[in-house]
Order: sequence, then structure tokens, then C-alpha cells
Amino acid sequence: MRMMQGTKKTAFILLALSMLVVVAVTPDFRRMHVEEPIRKGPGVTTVKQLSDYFAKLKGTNGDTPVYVLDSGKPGGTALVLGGTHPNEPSSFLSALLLIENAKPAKGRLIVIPRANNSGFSHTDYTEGAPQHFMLKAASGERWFRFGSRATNPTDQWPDPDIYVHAASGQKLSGSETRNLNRAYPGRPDGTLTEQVAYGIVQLIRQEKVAMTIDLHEASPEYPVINAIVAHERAMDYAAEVTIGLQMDGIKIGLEPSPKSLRGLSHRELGDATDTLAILMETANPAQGRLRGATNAALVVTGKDVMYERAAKLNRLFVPYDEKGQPIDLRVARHVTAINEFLNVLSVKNPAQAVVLNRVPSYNDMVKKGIGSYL
Amino acid sequence: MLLLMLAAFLGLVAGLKWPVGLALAATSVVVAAADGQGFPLRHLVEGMFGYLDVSLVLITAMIFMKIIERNGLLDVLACDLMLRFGRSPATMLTAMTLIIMFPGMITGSCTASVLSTGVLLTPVLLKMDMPRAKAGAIVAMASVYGMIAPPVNIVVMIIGGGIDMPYIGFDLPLLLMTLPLAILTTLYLGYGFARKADMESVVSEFTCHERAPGGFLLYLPLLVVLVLMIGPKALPGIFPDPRLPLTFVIGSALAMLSGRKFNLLETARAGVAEILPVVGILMGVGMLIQIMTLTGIRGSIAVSSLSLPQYLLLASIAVTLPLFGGISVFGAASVLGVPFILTMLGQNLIITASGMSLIAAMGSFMPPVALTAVIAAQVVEEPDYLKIVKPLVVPSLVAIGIGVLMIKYATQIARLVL
Repeated sequence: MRMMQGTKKTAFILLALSMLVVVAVTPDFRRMHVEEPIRKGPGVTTVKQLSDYFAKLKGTNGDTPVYVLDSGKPGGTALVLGGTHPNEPSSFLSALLLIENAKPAKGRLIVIPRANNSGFSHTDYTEGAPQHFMLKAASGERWFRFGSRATNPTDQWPDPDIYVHAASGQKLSGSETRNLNRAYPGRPDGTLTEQVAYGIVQLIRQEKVAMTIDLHEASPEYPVINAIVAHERAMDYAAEVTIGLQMDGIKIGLEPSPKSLRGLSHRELGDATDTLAILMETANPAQGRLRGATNAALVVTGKDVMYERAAKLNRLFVPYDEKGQPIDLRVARHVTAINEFLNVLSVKNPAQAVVLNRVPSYNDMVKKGIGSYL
Repeated sequence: MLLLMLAAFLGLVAGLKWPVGLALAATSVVVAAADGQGFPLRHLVEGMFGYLDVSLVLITAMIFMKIIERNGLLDVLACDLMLRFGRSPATMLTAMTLIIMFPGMITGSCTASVLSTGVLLTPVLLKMDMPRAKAGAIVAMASVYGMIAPPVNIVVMIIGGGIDMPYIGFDLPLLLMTLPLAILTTLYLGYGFARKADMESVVSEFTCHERAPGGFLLYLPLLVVLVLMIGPKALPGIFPDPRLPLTFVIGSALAMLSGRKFNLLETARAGVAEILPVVGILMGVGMLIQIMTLTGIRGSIAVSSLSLPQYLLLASIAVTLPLFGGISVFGAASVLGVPFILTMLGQNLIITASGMSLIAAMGSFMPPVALTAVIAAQVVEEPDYLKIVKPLVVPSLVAIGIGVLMIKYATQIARLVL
């Protein structure tokens, strides 16, 4: 190509072209700021905001709805965190399914479906991710955002070269500074991500939350998958749940929360508050590094030829065949495990009992699809 | 699809002589269209954001370098270094290696090294009658070793992040891995020239009597930049972190207060013009990685790498990490480094990840992107970056070999050094 000499004219043309690109592409990025509808189910008694617990979040993209499902009867309080990582959709959808279906018979259930609200407003660059995916629901077709693992850089930028976890001094790669699940217990004067973490800690303290369950997904090649990770005070509960699920034919692993890995919910929430801190993982091929074409179908069906190849090479930590890891299965695992945790809590500590009705069964969710309940 | 991608890129670069950045962007468009994605403008724009921060660092750093070149600080620094270390070739080259590595060690970015201390010391290397290509090779290799030397090795952090391994306990192994190799590589590339050069006359030829005015104040911008780079790492949470772009802007502002007078706008424009092709490459790389991920090419490369038999795993690491590193070293760490280390969970992971970072870092010289070599070529004003890559082939192969040995004998090495 013949080198073109830069002139004022070429500069003007290039600037005009850049402006055109900005105008053309802006609606795509702005669309990610439109929230998918969440319907208040029969159990929802109040909808608060996280800023009700930490006022500094008010008016920021870190503020997020907090759904309270109160039975009005004595018992304890449990908290479910969905959307800590908005690129792990079974986390958000499990929280959504509880909000739209569950009706407590004892105690209270608090659900934050978009724990990192900012992370829902963008996708991770260079990941080729879809912005939205659709589900056929009983009420018609519903759309959801496929977000990012981290806070939107337009809310928190630039990243440092290395992220130093404030409470421990632990060093991690700079981009982890926008990862909510590396920010606990948070800081009132920290970054937006640390403030969100701080707000969640304040909620747990003020509402005297007996048990907190943080929902996640991981790549099929990641060792801690289809698993429960429990703080040492929650280990007895987690062990009973694991056995219960295994007996029901749901294979799940149990890992102790490592004391040396700081900033994660299962470590810091258990250390900083009285809550029993638990984290759960399902297998999400759409976030894995070995995935093939990245699109909305992969998010929903969890089917991927590259992961089939990787499974045949024994490179995965979950069973993986042509059926994939569909979103119905992943949500069913989370919701069933949450219910099991609440059952164990109610048995082991009746004063803190939280009993849910109208939660679909594992088999129904897998067979009929979660859309039947949305 | 992979073949189409390679054919399109090579055809545009080698056949039509398009600039690399533009060829990468056009290749992204071709691959996306062939995959039935149409013209995915959102993905092309989003991919570029992957390199926005690095581009800001490059642009501000280059403006800073141009300014301290024009105000006379670069000359004074080279001159003072020659007077201090110039009598012994080995001492001189060792000191220069450490100085070039330093910004990379602190920031985890080899670009920071090339564009700061690399620029500062290039005149000294050229005074030894070293060809521009050899001088560029020394700057490029020392900068890459700086990138993976402690305290900040982002490649290891990315690999560790994928398996929840905190960045603890890496300082000693990384130091032992990088320092000897960096110094030996510089001596291998430059000692012949330094030994033959009459160091006394090289030193005396420096026109140190024509120092730019300002005395100690002349050094102030460089000192402030170093303090702003080191402070946040040395005293995290206490020392405010202005980040690199603002650091270089502050340095540039201070450099206008001392030394020779110069035209600020023209100088800044010259700096941007020099670095623009590199920024263009980064934008193109961002687009291509995004499209490779969207279409499944990235996953296909990763799974194919893992498909090799176990006994070929080390060979696969040695080949694919630098190959992918040719597009992006950090990308190679994420896409391949994490799956690879997941297959090695039974051995010492600190040594394993360190060895992988050494191997991946050599991708910095892998054509056709060869980003570090391209930037170093700009710095030493060598029009053909391949002339910088050529002398680095042997040192890179040695480094890859050592990286492989570190992975193979990770547990035994850990017993010795940890």
C-alpha cells in the first residue's frame, strides 16, 4: 500500500469517520444499561436498595435492588447473592427464580440478584461475548444481559498495575481491583467495587443474616466446579448438604475456604460477620478459555464442540458430552442446593429457620426448563 | 477459518505491504464476515478497548521521552553514565541492563522499559559502534526480562488468577530466573562491540561540556517519574497511585521547567507520530483477539494445543506460548497459560508459573506483530524490526529451554530455592 501523506484534509476525514463509528456503535453499548425486568413474586414483601445499608452508594451504578421475602413468622434470615460475576448467568437466574417463585413459610429470605450491578452494564473486552440472551418463558420470551466478571471501567478506572487487597495486603493482577469477589470485606472510602462489598457486609450485619450463599459459575476446566466452598464455621452445614445432594443423585464437591486466599465472600464474610458464608459453583462453558464460537446459544445450551474435545482429552473437571451444561441444569443445581442449605439450617438451628415454599424441584427445572417458572 | 485468517493477514502484510495495524483490522473484518457475523462493529470497537490503557501509557511515555530529549536531559544522562561506568565494558553493560530492566520490573510492562530507560541508554550503546539492530536487540531483551522480573510479573499474575493462586513467594525465583539471563544476553549481544570500542575515547567523545542548563533540576522530571512509579508499589495504600499516563504527564510538565527551550506542541506531535504505528498495531491486535474469540478460533487453538500427547505437553508449551505471545503475551498467559498449568496441579506451581512466564515473554519478539521489537526499532531508529529480532533468536531459544526445564523440574527446583 502506498503510504498516504497526512494532511489536514485526511485528518478531518479520519475524525469524521471516527465520529460516525461512535454514533453508530453507541446505542449498542447504551443498551447494556437497560435493566432486564424482574417480576415481584408472591413472596416478595419489600424491595430495598443496597444504598439503604450504605448511603454512599446512592446514585451510583453500584447501587442495586435488594428483594426481601418475609414470611412474617419467626425464624432466621438468609441472603442469596446473585450476579457477583454477571458473566455467570446461572447465578443471576437462580436469584431471579427465587424472587419470582419462592414464598417463605418461616423466617426471611433476602435476595440481591445483581450484586455487582455495574458489571451487568458491559461485557469483557476481547472476549467476544454476546450482550444479551433469550429464554422461552411461561410469560413469553424474556431477555437477559450477559455481563462482565468485573465492574464497568466507566464506573471505576483506571486499574492499577497490581491490586492490593486492603485488609490483607495480598497482591493480585490489576484487573482484579474491579472484581467484587476479591473486594470483601470492602472499604467505605475505597473503590466503587470495595464500597459495594462494604454495603453487602453492612446489610449482613444490620439484618443479622444467619447464612449467606454467593452463587457463581466457573469454566469446565477449573478444578473448583460443581462444588460448594464453605467457611470453617459453615463446614458442618455444607457437609450435610453435600451428602444430601449426592444421595439425590446430584454430584457435588465440597472445598474448605482457603485461609490464604483473601477478598472472597466465603472467607471474608465469614471472618468479618457472624454469617455462615458459602459459595457455590456450576459449570459455564460460555466463560471458559477453551470454548469455541461465543454466542447467546452457548450461554443457554452450554453445548460446545471444543469442550467436547477437551473432555475427551481429560482436561475438564466436570462430565461433558454432546448434551453440554445447559442453563436449566445449572440453575436447578443452585436452587436445589440453596433449598437444601436452608433445610439444614432449619434443622440444626431452629431459631434461625428459613423455610421456603413454591420452589420448583430439581427434576422439574431440568425437565420442563426454568422458563416454565419465569 | 484459522487458515483464512493467516492467509488474509500475511497477504495484506507481505503481499500488499499494508501496515501491520491496518492488516490486523482488515483481517478481523474478513474473518468475521466469513464466519457469518457480517460487519460486527460493536466487537471491533470493544476489542480495541482491550488495549486502551496500554496505548495511553505508550503515547504519554513517548511524549515524555521526546520532551526530555529536546530539553537535553537524555544527553546529560547518557554522558554521566558513560563517565561513571564507561571504563569497563562488562560493568558498563551490566549496569545498563539493570537500568533498562528497572521500569519493567516496577510496572510489569516491557514497553515502559523500552520507552523510558531504553530510550535513555540507546545513545550510549550507539557510541560503542554497535549497529542499531544490536542496540535495539539489547534494549528489547532487557526490557522483556524487566517485564517478568520481580516485584511485578503480570504474566504470572494472570496465570495465577486463573487458578486462584495468590501472587506470593515469587520474588526470589523470578529474580534468579531473570537477572543472570538478562545480563548474559546483553553481554552476548554487546560485549564484542564494547570490548573493541575504545571506552576511554567513547567517554571522551561525549560532549559533556555542552550540558543543558539546569544543573540538578534537569534530573528532577526523571526522579519524580521514578518516585511516582515506585511509591505506590513500595507503600501500597499510603502513597497515591497516579497511574502511568498521569505520571508521564507530570514528568513532561516538570521537564519544561529546566534545560533547553523547545516547542511543546511540535515536540508532543513528534512523539505521537512516532508511537502511532505501535498504537495502531495494538488496536488491530485487540480487534483480532475479539474476533478470534467470537468465531471460536481462539478456543480451537487452545484445545489443539492441549490435544498433544502428554509427552509432547512440554514441547507444546515451548511452541504455542511464544507463538500466541506473538499476538499478545498477556493473552497467551490467559488463553494458554491457565489451561496448561491446570494440567500440572501436582507439582510446584510457583516455579511452574515462573517458567511459563519466561517462555511466554519470548513471544514479544515473534513476528509478525513482535511488539517489543517493533517499539525498540522505533527507539533506535532501525527501519526493519526483523533485524532486531534476528540476533534475539538464540537468546530466546535458550530462555525457552530454561523455562521448559523449570516446568519439568519445578518441584526439585522449589526444594532448592523456596
